[in-house]
Amino acid sequence: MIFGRRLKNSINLFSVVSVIAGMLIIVPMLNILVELFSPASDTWRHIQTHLLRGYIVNTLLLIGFVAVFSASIGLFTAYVVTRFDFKGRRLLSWLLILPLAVPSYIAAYTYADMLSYTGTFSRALRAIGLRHGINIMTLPGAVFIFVMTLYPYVYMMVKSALEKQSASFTENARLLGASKFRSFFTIVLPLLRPALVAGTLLVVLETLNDYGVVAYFNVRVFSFAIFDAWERLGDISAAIRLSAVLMVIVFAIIFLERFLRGKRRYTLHVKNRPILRKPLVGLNRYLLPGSLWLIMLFAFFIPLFQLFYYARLTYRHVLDISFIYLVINSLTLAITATFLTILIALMIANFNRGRQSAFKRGLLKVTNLGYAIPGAVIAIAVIVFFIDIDHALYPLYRLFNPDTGRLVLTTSFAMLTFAFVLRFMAIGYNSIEAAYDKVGEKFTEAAYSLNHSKVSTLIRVDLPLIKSGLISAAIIVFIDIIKELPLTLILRPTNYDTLASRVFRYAREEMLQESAVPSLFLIAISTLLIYILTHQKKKGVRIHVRKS
Amino acid sequence: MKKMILGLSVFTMMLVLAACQLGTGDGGKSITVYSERHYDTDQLLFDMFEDETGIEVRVIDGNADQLINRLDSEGPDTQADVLIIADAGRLHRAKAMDLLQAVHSDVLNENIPANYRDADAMWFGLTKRARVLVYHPDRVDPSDLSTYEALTGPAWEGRVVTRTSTNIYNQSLMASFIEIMGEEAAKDFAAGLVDSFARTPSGNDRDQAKYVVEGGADVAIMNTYYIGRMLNSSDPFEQEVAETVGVFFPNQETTGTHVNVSAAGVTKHASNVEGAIKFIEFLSSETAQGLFSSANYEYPVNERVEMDALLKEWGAFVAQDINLSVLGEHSYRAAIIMDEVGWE
Amino acid sequence: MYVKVENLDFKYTSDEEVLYDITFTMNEGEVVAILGSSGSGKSTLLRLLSGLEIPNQGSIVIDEKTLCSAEHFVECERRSVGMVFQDYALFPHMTVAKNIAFGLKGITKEAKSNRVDEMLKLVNMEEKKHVYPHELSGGQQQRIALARALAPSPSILLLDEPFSNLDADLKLKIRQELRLIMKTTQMTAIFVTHDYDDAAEIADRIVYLENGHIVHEEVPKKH
Repeated sequence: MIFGRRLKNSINLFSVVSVIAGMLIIVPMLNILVELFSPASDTWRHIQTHLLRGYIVNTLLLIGFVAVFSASIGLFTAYVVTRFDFKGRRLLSWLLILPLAVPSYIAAYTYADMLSYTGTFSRALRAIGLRHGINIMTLPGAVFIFVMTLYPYVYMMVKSALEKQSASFTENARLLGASKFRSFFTIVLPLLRPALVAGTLLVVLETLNDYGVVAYFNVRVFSFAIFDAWERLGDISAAIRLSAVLMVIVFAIIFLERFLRGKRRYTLHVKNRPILRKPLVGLNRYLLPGSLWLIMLFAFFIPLFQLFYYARLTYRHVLDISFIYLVINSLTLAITATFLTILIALMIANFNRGRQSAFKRGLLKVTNLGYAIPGAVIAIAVIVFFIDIDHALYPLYRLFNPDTGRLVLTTSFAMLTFAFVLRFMAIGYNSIEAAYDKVGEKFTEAAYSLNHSKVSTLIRVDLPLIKSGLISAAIIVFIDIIKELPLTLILRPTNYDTLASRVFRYAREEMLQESAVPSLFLIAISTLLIYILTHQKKKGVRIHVRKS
Repeated sequence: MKKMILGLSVFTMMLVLAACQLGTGDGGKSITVYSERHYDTDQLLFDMFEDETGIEVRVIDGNADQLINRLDSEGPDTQADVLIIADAGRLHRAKAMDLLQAVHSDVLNENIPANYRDADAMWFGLTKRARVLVYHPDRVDPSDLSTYEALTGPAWEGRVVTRTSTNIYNQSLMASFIEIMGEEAAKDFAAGLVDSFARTPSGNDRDQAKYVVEGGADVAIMNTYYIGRMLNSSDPFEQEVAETVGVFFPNQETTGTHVNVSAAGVTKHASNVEGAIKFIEFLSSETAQGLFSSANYEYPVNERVEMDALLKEWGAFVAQDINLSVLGEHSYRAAIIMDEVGWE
Repeated sequence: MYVKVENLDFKYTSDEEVLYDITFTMNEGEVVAILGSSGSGKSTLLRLLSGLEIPNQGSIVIDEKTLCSAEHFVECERRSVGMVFQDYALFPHMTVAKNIAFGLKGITKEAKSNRVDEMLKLVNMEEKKHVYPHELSGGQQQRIALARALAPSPSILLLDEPFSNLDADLKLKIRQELRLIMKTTQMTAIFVTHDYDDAAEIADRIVYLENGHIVHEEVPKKH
């Protein structure tokens, strides 16, 4: 009886949705993972002898350099913006997020073009009798592109951690005789570790998932290898094996970080005394803001100007009435998928509050899995899964329409939406969890004690409290979805074009100039959202409640 | 907040319902095409076909392997009626996976020469692309150029560029060599070519031409229609590059220039076979073929069609005398060989 | 006089907490309590003494070293002033031993380790040497914060509301301990509080602060 009551207590909207979501994510993946247990093919052996070593070396080099540089740039920019006062600081503090609006593949096409023989940069140099020897289509070039387009993840995370870091720690360090230099490296920096790691991990995962840049630059890393095994060698099981190796690498990195962290914590309840920004003096008055503007120039303005130039050449024959549909398609797709992602992430986050159990932790790992698996592999898994569902639901479809085809969901945009939810759940969930962490459980418990149901508490107490966290989660997921490529290309319904797919289509046909207009639309939408994200009115009263 | 959630939920439901509606079939009034070709001209042709026959054309575009894989996963339930792919080798793969059906059409047999059709009538070539040598006239005398194989000598060390081994056109080029000269010789050719490379392969076909003009290399191996399209690029500087370089058709005295096709087949489980055949017949017609040639600078397969002025200027050439199905048969070995000789 | 504070004026740019013409002196080894309600400026006074804030005018001399005057300002890291914050601010990513050793500089590893052990013994926390702060209770955290501040042998110890975060019964215990530690170490110390009992229990002298002015001084009657 006691067991029955406990079971009844644990069954509610949140647990049911969470478990179903977990199942929906794990089942398609299982279809794929069984491939791992099939005997190794000749292709796999060929890959092992000739290619695998290169893939591993290149992948480690790529993510290693991308991680180091984006962490440094993210840290540097966030530190300057939060600790010093200078002209243009407010503007820069949100401009520095904007490079996120530029999809890596667009930055890659644009830079490669500018540096090519006919490119703006090369022509400008030739005009004054110079030549440059820069070949951006290399591994260092790819590092540059990824760092420039992805560092904002680190910047955002570190900036918010720096804003929350209490002055008590650094003041204490200095009273104990530590120089500014020592207190930065022994106190400020180590306390930023969780934010720095979380941001850098996002950058690394995005890098590992990219296909556009590495394919164009011919940088042979895992995402490249997975497509190559699938397409050129025609061996899907070898492709899946490769992605399994990749997943092992990813989990090893995450595990290593956790291991090194040990029992250390990076927060302790202290009075949140914000650190006052110091005005810049001397040469630094120009040097520090100048370097921030330089980063903005390379990461955002240069690609943007180039795209404007091409848009001017091509808008006449590219921009027609069908463009409205591209925008509408992109928006509806991104809005629907974002909404569902956030809604489900919210349910799972609610389910995960309170007492922890092995089951909950396991479920969490599963729902976060999607982000670590390459988009192309998710695509295969989702197709197979949806065909199964359609077969199961076929009798039901016939009730509504006797002439219906079998594949109703598979041919609809539900499949693509599902894939997005699966893929971006981790981002949504982690941001919401962070927002919940900030609030603590006091308010929720108070509401329960006042006899509010779980759902009523969620809507009337929790949601208003985590609203701003929720909005930023939604915007980050939205931007990720609207620029996403492999899933969009493989899973979209017939005659369904989005801005991203149109950009890719032109780029694949080597018509970079024509891709400028849809690229600009894509960047404009994301830019607008980032503006909204950074200019939310902070309303409501802040009450300090001690977290237990 | 409550209202917002409610509103958004209703909105989502409506979207999903609308999307489901899209998926329902409508008899013989439409065909669905899985296409790797997605040029603006192709869309124009699809619209013309719709106007002419009243059959609506629905398209999913994607790359060859993704489309083939999707077709395979969907099995008998697929909505696809036609598969269009820009490489004979990949069509052969689709055929080998039992995804296509044989079509008997006098129109197609008449419009398309036998070596550009599948022997079992599973697929039909629509346009030809020649893989040629593009050179810088200041540094290369065309009389020094002869064959693909000749580029492997010490005289050409560090002077040749082409795309990566993952590029389907290079893979098919290698496959044709395996067919013509056998695997051993083909491997020697690949190894020699790698020694002649001016850089580790990267970029697309246009980038190869630019690299030649820039002075990084003297000869590029690339497809003809990219030169045509660069001549008509919206970027005036690309036009300049295309005007600078010369085009040379190799192996004229020997085995012929490598040619590939983009081709179409009717899927095995097509629900509108009749419409699908009509569609392919339309694409082989003189109107469509003329447009392929004039707008995209591809060689028409239909020999009655007037070629574009540029193609005429390049003149007639001897193509490899092989049935293109073999490109598919050898494509796997071609890939393996390229990996073995270190062609990146 | 060991500590000499003269005519100290201070005004935050934004805050209303201000200090006017603060003057007082202390003998070596003396423990002074600054008693005042919140907003009286008592925490600000500690921040001025420690060098975390720069006074608008006035001078501070401790142990014959001028820390602050019209033409002279010693940065906080060179003052050798120990301070225990109201929220303790133990570095969360360092063990107890590392926290205590943080302020020890220019001595051998062995000497450092000895000093850490000595301090742990002083606050009676030897067994917690290798744990992280989040594993400690509030009272334990405070003791470690005290040990950390005392470890470099500062010329003066400042305590900001040392009992405000503790439960009532724990407070009594800690208060006695603190008094004992003060006496054993012969530390010159200033602590601020809003509670007369705390002040009377520990301090040799009580200074009353109201709205930024020193209004009254007294020697508490010892129990």
